Amino acid sequence: MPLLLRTVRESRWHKAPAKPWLDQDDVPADPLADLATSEQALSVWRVLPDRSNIERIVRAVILGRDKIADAGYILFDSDLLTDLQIETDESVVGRSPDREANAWHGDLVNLSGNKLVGLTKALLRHGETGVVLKKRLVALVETGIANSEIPERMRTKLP
Amino acid sequence: MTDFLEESAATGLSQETPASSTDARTDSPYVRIARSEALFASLLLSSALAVAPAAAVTMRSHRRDELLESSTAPADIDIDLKRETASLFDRGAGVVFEDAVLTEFSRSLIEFVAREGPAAFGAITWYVASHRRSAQAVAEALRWIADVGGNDTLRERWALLRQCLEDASPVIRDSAILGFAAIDDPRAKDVLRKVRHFEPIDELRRLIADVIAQLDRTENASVIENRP
Repeated sequence: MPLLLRTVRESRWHKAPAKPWLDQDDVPADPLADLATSEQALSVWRVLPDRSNIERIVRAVILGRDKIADAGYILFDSDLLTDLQIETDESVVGRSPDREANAWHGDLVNLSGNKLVGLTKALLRHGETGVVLKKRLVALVETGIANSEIPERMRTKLP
Repeated sequence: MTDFLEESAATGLSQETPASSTDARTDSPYVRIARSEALFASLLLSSALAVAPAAAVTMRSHRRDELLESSTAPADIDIDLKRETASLFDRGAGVVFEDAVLTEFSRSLIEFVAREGPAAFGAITWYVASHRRSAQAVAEALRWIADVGGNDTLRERWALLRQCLEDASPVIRDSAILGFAAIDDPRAKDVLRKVRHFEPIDELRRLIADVIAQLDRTENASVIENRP
């Protein structure tokens, strides 16, 4: 099953030692901030088996924000969704400035509060986090503009 | 090493061993490093064991005292500047921050640093060491201010990031590591290697390794550029 990617603030997903105030089966609340849904759906991206599109996905997402900056993400196996009975809709294309990357986009749909907490718990336990550093993203944006993967106007996002 | 770095090392030590700002100039570099590493190890060990909230508070207040007593502590910060800084960070305390997204807090912070220059960093250092600080707001601030300003504030930004690399809060340490990536000065490799050794969180150790790799590439590129 493919890996899925969600951009997050990576520091909210550290596998830090258990907090004394947290019940054994509970999850901290802060990571939920990275799983904000719209119409009960959550945006995710499909990662290629060789993981070669991770940086391109992160670039696509960050270009939709204010400024190029360090960008965190979390990867997780889509098998986790089966266990949680979370449905996916792969027909929802992305709306980033990178048209090719948009094909890797999908939504997790019909999410309830309980499913979201379950997903958070699963991601904290099994997810793999990473950060694409700003300097690398700047280089990726410049390359993307040169290769016409993203429009020239994206240059305004550069520092 | 340049004077700047030696002074940075001394700055780090004076924060860690406040009684020895004079000693810092007379001890050998190895003694200095050993002392600071020993203290850092004990801080991180306490953090990793998550002993008890009371211990964390004690540790934080101990750090605060060290800062206030250290030779680099901002002793003469204007009271109005302190108030403005506290008010600014209080406004950032309730914000849910996202990577690469400007907020009213980050805009105000950038404007504050541009207006106040080096004095702003003294006030921020004071706030970071205060009991009432918001770790999330401090972490967000580090991500932006590492990137703002030129050589005139490099020393202050460096000292603040250096201090925050050893903070009890992993969120603040995370942003301090990213701050050194933003400054992109290969001289930070030594300090990053040192803290990596004691960092208890896997993700942060990995992040430090990524930043060191970036700094290696920066260093190699500058060597190639300068080759006749």
